[in-house]
Amino acid sequence: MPEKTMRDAINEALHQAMEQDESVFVIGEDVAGCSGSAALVGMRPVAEIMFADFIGVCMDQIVNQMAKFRYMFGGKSRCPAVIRFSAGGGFSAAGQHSQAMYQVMTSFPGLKVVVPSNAYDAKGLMLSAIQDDDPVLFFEPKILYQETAEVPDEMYTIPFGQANFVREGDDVTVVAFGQMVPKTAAVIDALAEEGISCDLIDPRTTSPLDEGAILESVEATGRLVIVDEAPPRCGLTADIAGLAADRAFKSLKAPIKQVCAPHSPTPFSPELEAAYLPNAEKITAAIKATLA
Amino acid sequence: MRENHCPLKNFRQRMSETGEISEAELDAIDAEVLAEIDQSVTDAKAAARPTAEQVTEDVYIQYTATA
Repeated sequence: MPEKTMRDAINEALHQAMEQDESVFVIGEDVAGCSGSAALVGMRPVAEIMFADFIGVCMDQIVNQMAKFRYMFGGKSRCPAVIRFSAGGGFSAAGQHSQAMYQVMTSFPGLKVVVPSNAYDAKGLMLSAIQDDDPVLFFEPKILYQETAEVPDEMYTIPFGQANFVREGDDVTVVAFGQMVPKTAAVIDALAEEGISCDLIDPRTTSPLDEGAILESVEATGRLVIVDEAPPRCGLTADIAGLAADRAFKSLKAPIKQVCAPHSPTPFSPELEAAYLPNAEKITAAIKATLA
Repeated sequence: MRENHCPLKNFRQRMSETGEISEAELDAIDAEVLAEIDQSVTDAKAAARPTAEQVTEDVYIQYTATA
């Protein structure tokens, strides 16, 4: 099977979708605001925002318009738009070009939010996003663009709300997003040598979220660590910790651990950014803390 | 289009037309600015690297939570 980068896998999905369906069209750069209206009249736009950080320039169109058309028009309209973003840090791109943003957008009912962690998922999720009749925000971890995986040439879809178990184990449930997935997989592989085995769950879509997979794993292991690159307030780590504390409390053998950035903008300095983003050391410490 | 509407170029043009600031003075300002930039780059490259503890410096002017 051919190996492709995440960048090429997404590109391939766009080309194949446009070949298959005339109503699909690609629009960029940073003109995502008009995708809402195009979608309302029956087109299937895929709009681009170069950096997730720029979402502010079309926040009203996304949050107050696209997210709410169906609801506020009593089910009489649909908005099958996809907006793609480059998201996340690791490039010394500094505060205004490194934000995740997917955790913020997850909080808005009416939007679907996708965060692929590898090229195979990226293509399948993009094709699902284009077919989906709801507005989908597709956050591509830019530091993973060059990472390769086996990606089929043919078209395929990956359903939303279906997590992927990147690793399976019995001791600890670890949930991770975007660029934290491969980073956490490496930590888990190292811990396996010490006799610690973990489930690594990549939800792939934060909205809808595969709550069942997460809760089932927590019920089996009793220990939960969540890893995301965004800062801690109102983020995915808190969201999933809350879910588990509410619905799987009796299964918990240890406090839930959250690994995320500190409450500060992403630094420019490479030394500071390395201290800022969750790293192998912090992820390992969190997993071991649940076993202490 | 950009070339014709560059405010720096247009300002220079207007100053030389009105004679308010001479070309020589404008050149001197440019030279001074370039020197300042060069020195800043040199100073920045020679400066000590920030430490991990500084990662939350200057997020706020003041931020105290009640424990």
